[in-house]
Amino acid sequence: MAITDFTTYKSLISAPSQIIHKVKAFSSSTQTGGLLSSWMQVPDPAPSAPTTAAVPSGTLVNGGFGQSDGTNQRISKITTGVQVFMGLILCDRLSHQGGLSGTTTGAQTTNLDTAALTRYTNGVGVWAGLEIYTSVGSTATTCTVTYTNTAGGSSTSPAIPFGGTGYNTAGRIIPVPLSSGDVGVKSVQNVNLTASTLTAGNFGVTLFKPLLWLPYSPMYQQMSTDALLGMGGMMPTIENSACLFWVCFPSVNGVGVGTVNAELIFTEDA
Amino acid sequence: MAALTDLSDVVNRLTGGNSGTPETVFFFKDPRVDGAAASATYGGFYNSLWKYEGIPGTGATPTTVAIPTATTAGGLQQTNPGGGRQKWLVSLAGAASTPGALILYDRLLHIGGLDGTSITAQTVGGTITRYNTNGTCVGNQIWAEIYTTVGSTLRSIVASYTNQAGTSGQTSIGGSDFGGPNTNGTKNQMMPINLISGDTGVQAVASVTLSASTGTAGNFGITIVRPLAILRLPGQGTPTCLDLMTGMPGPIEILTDACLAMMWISNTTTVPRIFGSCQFIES
Repeated sequence: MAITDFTTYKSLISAPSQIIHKVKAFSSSTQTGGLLSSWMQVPDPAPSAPTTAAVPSGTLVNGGFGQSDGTNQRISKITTGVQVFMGLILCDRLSHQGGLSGTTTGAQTTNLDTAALTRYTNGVGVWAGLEIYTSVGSTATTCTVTYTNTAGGSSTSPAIPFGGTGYNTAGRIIPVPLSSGDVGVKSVQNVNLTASTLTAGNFGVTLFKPLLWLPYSPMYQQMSTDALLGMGGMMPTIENSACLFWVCFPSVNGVGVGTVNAELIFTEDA
Repeated sequence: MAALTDLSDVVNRLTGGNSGTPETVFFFKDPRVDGAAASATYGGFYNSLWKYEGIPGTGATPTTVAIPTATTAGGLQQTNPGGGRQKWLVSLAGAASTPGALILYDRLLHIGGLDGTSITAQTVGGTITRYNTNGTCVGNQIWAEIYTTVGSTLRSIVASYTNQAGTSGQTSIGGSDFGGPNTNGTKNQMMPINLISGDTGVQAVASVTLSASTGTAGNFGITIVRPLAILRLPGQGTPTCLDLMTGMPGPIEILTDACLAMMWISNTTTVPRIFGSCQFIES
Protein backbone atom coordinates (compact mmCIF):
# COMPACT_ATOMS: atom_id res chain seq x y z
CA MET A 1 0.00 0.00 0.00
CA ALA A 2 0.96 3.60 -0.36
CA ILE A 3 -0.51 7.02 0.32
CA THR A 4 -1.86 7.91 -3.07
CA ASP A 5 -1.91 11.70 -2.91
CA PHE A 6 -1.53 14.74 -0.72
CA THR A 7 -5.24 14.98 0.03
CA THR A 8 -5.20 11.46 1.39
CA TYR A 9 -2.09 12.26 3.39
CA LYS A 10 -3.81 15.24 5.00
CA SER A 11 -6.88 13.19 5.83
CA LEU A 12 -4.76 10.48 7.42
CA ILE A 13 -3.01 12.98 9.65
CA SER A 14 -6.40 14.31 10.68
CA ALA A 15 -7.39 10.84 11.81
CA PRO A 16 -4.24 9.19 13.10
CA SER A 17 -4.23 5.50 13.83
CA GLN A 18 -2.62 6.17 17.21
CA ILE A 19 -0.80 8.85 19.14
CA ILE A 20 2.06 7.96 21.45
CA HIS A 21 3.38 10.30 24.13
CA LYS A 22 6.84 9.52 25.36
CA VAL A 23 8.92 11.16 28.07
CA LYS A 24 12.54 10.39 28.72
CA ALA A 25 14.39 12.19 31.49
CA PHE A 26 18.05 11.61 30.85
CA SER A 27 20.38 11.10 33.77
CA SER A 28 23.33 11.18 31.37
CA SER A 29 25.59 14.10 30.62
CA THR A 30 26.62 14.88 27.10
CA GLN A 31 30.08 14.03 25.85
CA THR A 32 31.92 15.55 22.92
CA GLY A 33 30.31 14.56 19.66
CA GLY A 34 28.83 11.51 21.26
CA LEU A 35 25.52 9.78 20.77
CA LEU A 36 23.26 8.99 23.70
CA SER A 37 20.69 6.24 23.92
CA SER A 38 17.30 6.82 25.49
CA TRP A 39 16.88 3.15 26.31
CA MET A 40 17.78 3.19 29.99
CA GLN A 41 16.36 6.60 30.78
CA VAL A 42 13.51 7.21 33.21
CA PRO A 43 10.62 7.52 33.82
CA ASP A 44 8.58 5.98 31.10
CA PRO A 45 9.70 3.36 32.24
CA ALA A 46 13.37 2.49 32.53
CA PRO A 47 14.13 -1.11 31.76
CA SER A 48 16.97 -3.00 33.32
CA ALA A 49 20.16 -3.49 31.37
CA PRO A 50 19.99 -6.51 29.12
CA THR A 51 21.95 -9.58 30.04
CA THR A 52 21.59 -12.45 27.63
CA ALA A 53 21.21 -11.84 23.93
CA ALA A 54 17.61 -11.00 23.14
CA VAL A 55 15.30 -9.33 20.68
CA PRO A 56 13.82 -6.52 22.78
CA SER A 57 10.10 -6.14 22.94
CA GLY A 58 8.60 -2.85 21.87
CA THR A 59 6.10 -2.86 24.70
CA LEU A 60 5.99 0.06 27.06
CA VAL A 61 6.77 -1.99 30.12
CA ASN A 62 9.98 -3.19 28.55
CA GLY A 63 11.25 0.24 27.57
CA GLY A 64 9.83 0.60 24.08
CA PHE A 65 7.33 3.21 22.98
CA GLY A 66 4.45 0.78 23.37
CA GLN A 67 2.76 1.52 20.08
CA SER A 68 0.18 -0.90 18.73
CA ASP A 69 0.81 -2.90 15.61
CA GLY A 70 -0.86 -1.78 12.40
CA THR A 71 -0.96 -2.20 8.66
CA ASN A 72 1.62 -0.17 6.76
CA GLN A 73 2.01 2.11 9.72
CA ARG A 74 4.10 5.29 9.49
CA ILE A 75 4.98 8.23 11.68
CA SER A 76 3.56 11.28 9.99
CA LYS A 77 4.17 13.94 12.57
CA ILE A 78 6.35 14.33 15.65
CA THR A 79 6.18 17.03 18.29
CA THR A 80 9.09 17.37 20.70
CA GLY A 81 10.29 19.50 23.54
CA VAL A 82 13.87 19.19 24.72
CA GLN A 83 16.09 20.89 27.27
CA VAL A 84 19.28 20.67 25.22
CA PHE A 85 19.42 21.56 21.54
CA MET A 86 19.97 18.25 19.81
CA GLY A 87 19.34 16.03 16.87
CA LEU A 88 17.03 13.11 17.52
CA ILE A 89 17.20 9.93 15.49
CA LEU A 90 14.28 7.55 15.88
CA CYS A 91 15.53 3.98 15.72
CA ASP A 92 14.17 0.47 15.83
CA ARG A 93 16.05 -1.54 18.44
CA LEU A 94 16.49 -4.94 16.88
CA SER A 95 18.75 -6.97 19.14
CA HIS A 96 20.70 -6.34 22.30
CA GLN A 97 22.75 -7.95 25.02
CA GLY A 98 24.85 -6.85 27.99
CA GLY A 99 27.36 -8.08 30.51
CA LEU A 100 30.53 -7.09 28.70
CA SER A 101 33.42 -5.75 30.75
CA GLY A 102 35.58 -2.68 30.39
CA THR A 103 38.55 -4.46 31.92
CA THR A 104 38.65 -7.67 29.91
CA THR A 105 41.07 -7.71 27.05
CA GLY A 106 40.89 -10.10 24.15
CA ALA A 107 37.74 -11.30 22.43
CA GLN A 108 34.73 -11.12 24.74
CA THR A 109 31.96 -13.51 23.81
CA THR A 110 29.80 -13.30 26.92
CA ASN A 111 26.15 -13.33 25.84
CA LEU A 112 27.23 -13.25 22.20
CA ASP A 113 26.39 -13.91 19.36
CA THR A 114 23.69 -11.29 19.32
CA ALA A 115 20.16 -12.61 18.90
CA ALA A 116 19.18 -13.11 15.27
CA LEU A 117 17.38 -10.20 13.62
CA THR A 118 13.63 -10.56 13.31
CA ARG A 119 13.17 -7.30 11.38
CA TYR A 120 15.40 -5.99 8.57
CA THR A 121 16.79 -9.50 8.53
CA ASN A 122 19.14 -8.89 5.60
CA GLY A 123 21.05 -6.46 7.80
CA VAL A 124 21.20 -3.68 5.20
CA GLY A 125 21.29 -0.36 7.03
CA VAL A 126 21.48 -2.06 10.43
CA TRP A 127 24.01 -0.43 12.74
CA ALA A 128 25.84 -1.94 15.69
CA GLY A 129 26.48 0.20 18.76
CA LEU A 130 28.41 -0.35 21.97
CA GLU A 131 25.92 0.77 24.62
CA ILE A 132 27.25 1.59 28.07
CA TYR A 133 24.90 0.63 30.90
CA THR A 134 27.29 1.23 33.82
CA SER A 135 30.22 3.54 33.23
CA VAL A 136 33.44 1.88 32.19
CA GLY A 137 36.87 3.22 33.05
CA SER A 138 38.42 6.60 32.38
CA THR A 139 41.46 5.10 30.71
CA ALA A 140 41.16 5.34 26.97
CA THR A 141 41.72 2.31 24.82
CA THR A 142 40.44 0.99 21.53
CA CYS A 143 38.40 -1.99 20.54
CA THR A 144 37.32 -3.89 17.48
CA VAL A 145 34.06 -5.67 16.83
CA THR A 146 33.74 -8.85 14.81
CA TYR A 147 30.42 -9.18 13.06
CA THR A 148 28.56 -10.90 10.25
CA ASN A 149 27.95 -8.58 7.33
CA THR A 150 25.00 -8.44 4.97
CA ALA A 151 26.61 -10.98 2.63
CA GLY A 152 26.95 -13.45 5.51
CA GLY A 153 30.71 -13.04 5.72
CA SER A 154 32.76 -12.32 8.81
CA SER A 155 34.13 -8.79 9.13
CA THR A 156 36.06 -6.93 11.77
CA SER A 157 35.50 -3.25 12.36
CA PRO A 158 38.31 -0.71 12.35
CA ALA A 159 39.68 0.02 15.82
CA ILE A 160 37.46 2.52 17.62
CA PRO A 161 38.04 4.52 20.79
CA PHE A 162 36.51 3.04 23.92
CA GLY A 163 36.81 4.13 27.55
CA GLY A 164 38.25 7.46 28.60
CA THR A 165 36.69 10.87 28.17
CA GLY A 166 33.89 10.85 25.68
CA TYR A 167 33.60 7.11 25.51
CA ASN A 168 32.94 5.82 28.98
CA THR A 169 29.80 7.08 30.69
CA ALA A 170 26.49 5.31 31.14
CA GLY A 171 24.01 6.26 28.47
CA ARG A 172 26.54 6.52 25.64
CA ILE A 173 26.05 4.45 22.53
CA ILE A 174 29.13 4.29 20.34
CA PRO A 175 28.36 3.39 16.73
CA VAL A 176 30.64 0.75 15.28
CA PRO A 177 32.22 1.74 11.94
CA LEU A 178 32.08 -1.00 9.38
CA SER A 179 34.80 -2.68 7.44
CA SER A 180 35.41 -1.31 3.95
CA GLY A 181 32.61 -2.31 1.60
CA ASP A 182 30.11 -3.30 4.26
CA VAL A 183 26.65 -1.72 4.43
CA GLY A 184 25.17 -3.30 7.53
CA VAL A 185 25.33 -5.88 10.29
CA LYS A 186 23.41 -9.11 10.75
CA SER A 187 24.96 -10.20 14.04
CA VAL A 188 27.94 -9.57 16.29
CA GLN A 189 30.27 -12.34 17.42
CA ASN A 190 32.73 -10.66 19.76
CA VAL A 191 34.11 -7.40 21.11
CA ASN A 192 37.83 -7.11 21.60
CA LEU A 193 39.37 -4.43 23.84
CA THR A 194 43.01 -3.63 23.23
CA ALA A 195 43.59 -2.79 26.91
CA SER A 196 41.64 -2.37 30.10
CA THR A 197 39.76 0.85 30.80
CA LEU A 198 40.43 0.00 34.50
CA THR A 199 36.75 -0.17 35.44
CA ALA A 200 34.61 -3.10 34.41
CA GLY A 201 31.30 -1.30 34.26
CA ASN A 202 28.75 -2.97 32.06
CA PHE A 203 28.27 -2.54 28.38
CA GLY A 204 26.70 -4.43 25.54
CA VAL A 205 26.07 -4.59 21.85
CA THR A 206 22.90 -3.14 20.39
CA LEU A 207 21.80 -3.68 16.80
CA PHE A 208 19.50 -0.93 15.61
CA LYS A 209 18.03 0.52 12.45
CA PRO A 210 17.88 4.31 12.16
CA LEU A 211 14.45 5.18 10.79
CA LEU A 212 14.18 8.94 10.59
CA TRP A 213 15.77 12.18 11.70
CA LEU A 214 13.99 14.80 13.66
CA PRO A 215 16.11 17.58 12.22
CA TYR A 216 15.07 20.47 14.42
CA SER A 217 14.85 20.26 18.20
CA PRO A 218 15.37 23.74 19.62
CA MET A 219 15.97 24.05 23.30
CA TYR A 220 13.01 24.80 25.58
CA GLN A 221 10.63 25.11 22.65
CA GLN A 222 7.98 22.78 21.47
CA MET A 223 8.52 21.84 17.85
CA SER A 224 6.06 20.03 15.64
CA THR A 225 7.44 18.47 12.50
CA ASP A 226 5.61 16.95 9.57
CA ALA A 227 7.35 13.90 8.13
CA LEU A 228 6.59 14.81 4.55
CA LEU A 229 7.16 18.54 4.63
CA GLY A 230 9.58 18.92 7.53
CA MET A 231 11.63 15.77 7.75
CA GLY A 232 12.68 15.48 4.17
CA GLY A 233 10.14 12.84 3.30
CA MET A 234 11.48 10.20 5.65
CA MET A 235 8.33 8.17 6.04
CA PRO A 236 9.49 4.62 6.65
CA THR A 237 7.06 1.89 7.52
CA ILE A 238 7.16 1.15 11.23
CA GLU A 239 7.36 -2.61 11.42
CA ASN A 240 5.02 -4.48 13.71
CA SER A 241 6.68 -5.18 17.08
CA ALA A 242 9.19 -2.41 16.40
CA CYS A 243 11.07 -1.44 19.53
CA LEU A 244 11.40 2.32 19.14
CA PHE A 245 13.95 4.38 20.99
CA TRP A 246 15.82 7.64 20.53
CA VAL A 247 19.46 8.09 19.69
CA CYS A 248 20.37 11.68 20.54
CA PHE A 249 23.17 13.87 19.20
CA PRO A 250 23.43 16.81 21.62
CA SER A 251 24.79 20.19 20.68
CA VAL A 252 26.73 20.90 23.85
CA ASN A 253 29.23 19.03 25.96
CA GLY A 254 29.29 18.19 29.62
CA VAL A 255 25.76 19.16 30.55
CA GLY A 256 22.76 17.18 31.67
CA VAL A 257 20.52 16.26 28.79
CA GLY A 258 17.36 16.74 30.81
CA THR A 259 14.02 15.73 29.44
CA VAL A 260 12.96 14.76 25.96
CA ASN A 261 9.20 14.93 25.51
CA ALA A 262 7.70 13.60 22.33
CA GLU A 263 4.34 13.04 20.74
CA LEU A 264 4.35 10.69 17.76
CA ILE A 265 1.41 10.64 15.39
CA PHE A 266 1.02 7.37 13.53
CA THR A 267 -1.00 6.84 10.38
CA GLU A 268 -1.81 3.76 8.37
CA ASP A 269 -1.80 3.81 4.58
CA ALA A 270 -5.29 4.18 3.18
CA MET B 1 11.04 7.35 -17.20
CA ALA B 2 8.62 10.05 -16.06
CA ALA B 3 9.07 13.32 -14.27
CA LEU B 4 7.89 13.91 -10.73
CA THR B 5 4.64 15.67 -11.40
CA ASP B 6 3.53 17.24 -8.14
CA LEU B 7 3.47 16.84 -4.37
CA SER B 8 0.86 14.11 -4.56
CA ASP B 9 3.11 12.14 -6.88
CA VAL B 10 5.98 12.56 -4.42
CA VAL B 11 3.81 11.42 -1.48
CA ASN B 12 2.74 8.38 -3.44
CA ARG B 13 6.27 7.42 -4.41
CA LEU B 14 7.72 8.14 -0.95
CA THR B 15 5.29 5.63 0.49
CA GLY B 16 6.06 3.00 -2.12
CA GLY B 17 3.38 3.65 -4.70
CA ASN B 18 3.88 3.91 -8.46
CA SER B 19 7.24 2.09 -8.27
CA GLY B 20 8.61 4.89 -6.10
CA THR B 21 11.03 2.48 -4.40
CA PRO B 22 11.79 4.82 -1.47
CA GLU B 23 15.23 4.32 0.02
CA THR B 24 16.78 5.97 3.05
CA VAL B 25 20.52 5.65 3.56
CA PHE B 26 21.78 6.72 6.97
CA PHE B 27 25.49 7.43 7.19
CA PHE B 28 28.06 7.99 9.89
CA LYS B 29 31.51 9.47 9.36
CA ASP B 30 33.93 9.04 12.25
CA PRO B 31 37.06 11.24 12.26
CA ARG B 32 39.38 8.27 12.08
CA VAL B 33 41.39 7.11 9.10
CA ASP B 34 43.38 3.90 8.79
CA GLY B 35 42.71 3.10 12.45
CA ALA B 36 43.99 6.40 13.84
CA ALA B 37 42.60 9.86 14.53
CA ALA B 38 42.10 11.87 11.37
CA SER B 39 44.38 14.80 10.63
CA ALA B 40 43.26 18.18 11.88
CA THR B 41 41.07 20.25 9.62
CA TYR B 42 41.63 23.92 8.77
CA GLY B 43 38.96 26.57 8.64
CA GLY B 44 37.80 27.30 5.14
CA PHE B 45 39.63 24.37 3.63
CA TYR B 46 38.29 21.11 2.27
CA ASN B 47 38.65 17.61 3.64
CA SER B 48 37.81 14.38 1.92
CA LEU B 49 35.59 12.01 3.87
CA TRP B 50 36.37 9.17 1.47
CA LYS B 51 38.65 7.44 3.94
CA TYR B 52 36.87 8.45 7.13
CA GLU B 53 35.72 5.30 8.89
CA GLY B 54 32.02 4.86 9.49
CA ILE B 55 28.85 3.44 8.03
CA PRO B 56 28.87 2.39 5.23
CA GLY B 57 32.49 1.27 5.46
CA THR B 58 35.48 3.35 4.45
CA GLY B 59 36.92 3.79 0.99
CA ALA B 60 40.30 2.54 -0.12
CA THR B 61 43.20 4.59 -1.42
CA PRO B 62 43.01 4.31 -5.18
CA THR B 63 46.04 3.21 -7.13
CA THR B 64 45.56 3.11 -10.89
CA VAL B 65 42.89 5.27 -12.46
CA ALA B 66 39.41 3.88 -11.82
CA ILE B 67 35.73 4.75 -12.17
CA PRO B 68 33.98 4.40 -8.80
CA THR B 69 30.40 3.14 -8.95
CA ALA B 70 27.44 2.68 -6.64
CA THR B 71 29.01 -0.47 -5.26
CA THR B 72 32.44 0.97 -4.57
CA ALA B 73 33.43 0.92 -0.90
CA GLY B 74 33.52 4.44 0.48
CA GLY B 75 30.39 5.59 -1.31
CA LEU B 76 26.90 5.47 0.15
CA GLN B 77 26.20 2.34 -1.91
CA GLN B 78 22.61 3.25 -2.66
CA THR B 79 20.71 0.92 -4.95
CA ASN B 80 20.44 1.70 -8.63
CA PRO B 81 17.03 2.60 -10.06
CA GLY B 82 15.18 -0.23 -11.69
CA GLY B 83 12.84 -0.59 -14.63
CA GLY B 84 14.26 2.29 -16.62
CA ARG B 85 13.34 4.74 -13.89
CA GLN B 86 15.28 7.77 -12.63
CA LYS B 87 16.47 8.07 -9.04
CA TRP B 88 16.04 11.33 -7.14
CA LEU B 89 17.57 12.71 -3.98
CA VAL B 90 14.70 14.41 -2.15
CA SER B 91 16.44 15.26 1.11
CA LEU B 92 19.84 15.37 2.76
CA ALA B 93 19.85 15.68 6.54
CA GLY B 94 22.57 15.55 9.13
CA ALA B 95 24.42 16.91 12.12
CA ALA B 96 28.10 17.25 12.93
CA SER B 97 30.18 17.55 16.05
CA THR B 98 31.71 20.79 14.82
CA PRO B 99 30.47 23.52 12.46
CA GLY B 100 31.04 23.22 8.75
CA ALA B 101 29.36 22.21 5.54
CA LEU B 102 28.95 18.86 3.89
CA ILE B 103 29.23 18.53 0.11
CA LEU B 104 27.61 15.49 -1.44
CA TYR B 105 29.15 14.65 -4.80
CA ASP B 106 29.29 11.96 -7.43
CA ARG B 107 32.84 10.62 -7.55
CA LEU B 108 33.35 10.18 -11.27
CA LEU B 109 37.00 9.13 -11.45
CA HIS B 110 39.91 8.79 -9.11
CA ILE B 111 43.55 7.86 -9.13
CA GLY B 112 46.16 7.66 -6.38
CA GLY B 113 49.86 7.02 -6.17
CA LEU B 114 51.02 10.41 -7.46
CA ASP B 115 54.22 11.91 -6.08
CA GLY B 116 54.60 15.21 -4.23
CA THR B 117 58.22 15.50 -5.32
CA SER B 118 57.87 14.84 -9.05
CA ILE B 119 58.08 17.90 -11.26
CA THR B 120 57.24 16.18 -14.51
CA ALA B 121 53.74 15.59 -15.86
CA GLN B 122 52.09 12.77 -13.93
CA THR B 123 49.56 10.84 -15.98
CA VAL B 124 45.92 10.65 -14.88
CA GLY B 125 43.92 9.40 -17.86
CA GLY B 126 40.82 7.26 -17.64
CA THR B 127 37.39 7.84 -19.12
CA ILE B 128 34.46 9.00 -17.02
CA THR B 129 31.15 7.22 -17.57
CA ARG B 130 28.71 9.71 -16.01
CA TYR B 131 28.33 13.39 -16.93
CA ASN B 132 30.65 12.51 -19.78
CA THR B 133 29.30 14.43 -22.77
CA ASN B 134 29.58 18.01 -23.93
CA GLY B 135 26.04 18.57 -22.74
CA THR B 136 26.31 16.96 -19.33
CA CYS B 137 29.85 17.58 -18.11
CA VAL B 138 29.28 21.21 -17.23
CA GLY B 139 29.88 21.38 -13.49
CA ASN B 140 32.43 18.60 -13.28
CA GLN B 141 35.45 19.64 -11.25
CA ILE B 142 39.08 18.53 -10.79
CA TRP B 143 40.34 18.07 -7.24
CA ALA B 144 43.69 16.98 -5.85
CA GLU B 145 43.22 14.58 -2.93
CA ILE B 146 45.90 13.77 -0.36
CA TYR B 147 46.14 10.16 0.80
CA THR B 148 49.50 10.44 2.57
CA THR B 149 50.79 13.85 3.60
CA VAL B 150 53.04 15.50 1.03
CA GLY B 151 55.76 18.03 1.72
CA SER B 152 55.52 21.25 3.68
CA THR B 153 56.77 23.50 0.90
CA LEU B 154 53.93 25.33 -0.81
CA ARG B 155 53.79 24.76 -4.57
CA SER B 156 51.17 25.03 -7.25
CA ILE B 157 49.59 22.38 -9.41
CA VAL B 158 48.24 22.54 -12.94
CA ALA B 159 46.16 20.04 -14.85
CA SER B 160 45.95 19.29 -18.54
CA TYR B 161 42.30 18.51 -19.18
CA THR B 162 39.49 18.21 -21.70
CA ASN B 163 36.83 20.86 -21.27
CA GLN B 164 33.06 20.91 -21.77
CA ALA B 165 33.45 21.45 -25.50
CA GLY B 166 35.60 18.37 -25.88
CA THR B 167 38.76 20.43 -26.34
CA SER B 168 41.75 18.57 -24.97
CA GLY B 169 45.02 20.10 -23.86
CA GLN B 170 43.43 22.80 -21.75
CA THR B 171 45.80 23.87 -18.98
CA SER B 172 44.34 24.96 -15.66
CA ILE B 173 45.22 28.29 -14.13
CA GLY B 174 48.60 28.18 -12.47
CA GLY B 175 48.61 28.87 -8.80
CA SER B 176 46.21 26.28 -7.48
CA ASP B 177 47.90 25.72 -4.15
CA PHE B 178 49.43 22.36 -3.41
CA GLY B 179 51.59 21.24 -0.49
CA GLY B 180 52.78 23.61 2.11
CA PRO B 181 52.17 23.95 5.80
CA ASN B 182 48.98 22.33 6.97
CA THR B 183 46.34 23.61 4.66
CA ASN B 184 47.10 22.13 1.27
CA GLY B 185 49.02 18.96 1.74
CA THR B 186 47.86 17.11 4.84
CA LYS B 187 46.35 13.67 4.62
CA ASN B 188 42.65 13.74 3.65
CA GLN B 189 42.72 17.28 2.33
CA MET B 190 41.24 18.14 -1.04
CA MET B 191 42.17 21.12 -3.17
CA PRO B 192 40.23 22.33 -6.20
CA ILE B 193 42.16 22.86 -9.42
CA ASN B 194 40.96 25.99 -11.16
CA LEU B 195 39.78 25.86 -14.76
CA ILE B 196 40.82 28.52 -17.22
CA SER B 197 38.56 31.41 -18.12
CA GLY B 198 35.58 30.28 -20.16
CA ASP B 199 35.69 26.66 -19.12
CA THR B 200 32.77 25.31 -17.13
CA GLY B 201 33.33 21.58 -16.99
CA VAL B 202 35.71 18.70 -17.39
CA GLN B 203 35.49 15.49 -19.36
CA ALA B 204 38.98 14.11 -18.74
CA VAL B 205 42.29 14.91 -17.09
CA ALA B 206 45.36 13.85 -19.01
CA SER B 207 47.97 14.78 -16.43
CA VAL B 208 48.91 17.05 -13.57
CA THR B 209 52.21 18.84 -12.98
CA LEU B 210 53.65 20.38 -9.83
CA SER B 211 55.55 23.66 -10.08
CA ALA B 212 58.35 22.18 -7.94
CA SER B 213 58.87 19.53 -5.32
CA THR B 214 57.00 19.86 -2.05
CA GLY B 215 59.87 18.05 -0.37
CA THR B 216 58.03 14.82 0.45
CA ALA B 217 56.54 12.33 -1.98
CA GLY B 218 53.54 11.34 0.12
CA ASN B 219 50.69 9.97 -1.94
CA PHE B 220 48.16 12.10 -3.67
CA GLY B 221 45.61 11.61 -6.37
CA ILE B 222 43.24 13.35 -8.72
CA THR B 223 39.50 13.02 -8.37
CA ILE B 224 36.91 14.24 -10.86
CA VAL B 225 33.95 15.40 -8.84
CA ARG B 226 30.38 16.31 -9.68
CA PRO B 227 28.97 18.31 -6.75
CA LEU B 228 25.31 17.52 -6.10
CA ALA B 229 24.24 19.16 -2.85
CA ILE B 230 25.59 21.21 0.05
CA LEU B 231 24.29 20.77 3.58
CA ARG B 232 25.12 23.60 5.92
CA LEU B 233 25.77 22.36 9.46
CA PRO B 234 26.18 25.58 11.40
CA GLY B 235 26.72 24.32 14.90
CA GLN B 236 27.93 21.42 16.95
CA GLY B 237 25.18 18.84 17.06
CA THR B 238 22.85 21.22 15.29
CA PRO B 239 20.83 19.16 12.85
CA THR B 240 19.82 20.49 9.47
CA CYS B 241 17.67 19.10 6.70
CA LEU B 242 18.06 20.12 3.08
CA ASP B 243 14.52 19.41 1.95
CA LEU B 244 14.61 19.24 -1.84
CA MET B 245 10.86 18.72 -2.19
CA THR B 246 9.90 22.05 -0.69
CA GLY B 247 13.15 23.95 -1.04
CA MET B 248 15.68 24.83 -3.67
CA PRO B 249 17.09 23.50 -5.90
CA GLY B 250 14.45 20.77 -6.01
CA PRO B 251 14.94 17.01 -6.35
CA ILE B 252 18.40 16.12 -7.63
CA GLU B 253 18.81 13.25 -10.06
CA ILE B 254 21.18 10.51 -8.96
CA LEU B 255 22.53 8.75 -12.01
CA THR B 256 22.68 4.99 -12.27
CA ASP B 257 25.95 3.77 -10.75
CA ALA B 258 26.61 7.11 -9.06
CA CYS B 259 29.29 6.86 -6.40
CA LEU B 260 27.94 9.22 -3.74
CA ALA B 261 30.79 10.50 -1.62
CA MET B 262 31.31 13.50 0.62
CA MET B 263 33.76 16.24 1.46
CA TRP B 264 33.76 18.64 4.37
CA ILE B 265 34.34 22.40 4.45
CA SER B 266 35.63 23.02 7.90
CA ASN B 267 34.95 25.99 10.11
CA THR B 268 37.51 25.01 12.72
CA THR B 269 40.56 22.84 13.32
CA THR B 270 38.39 20.26 15.04
CA VAL B 271 37.71 17.16 12.99
CA PRO B 272 34.02 16.41 12.49
CA ARG B 273 31.97 13.40 13.45
CA ILE B 274 28.98 13.43 11.13
CA PHE B 275 25.66 11.64 11.13
CA GLY B 276 23.22 12.04 8.30
CA SER B 277 20.80 10.56 5.84
CA CYS B 278 19.82 10.70 2.20
CA GLN B 279 16.25 10.07 1.10
CA PHE B 280 15.69 8.80 -2.43
CA ILE B 281 12.73 7.95 -4.62
CA GLU B 282 12.39 6.76 -8.20
CA SER B 283 10.21 7.96 -11.03
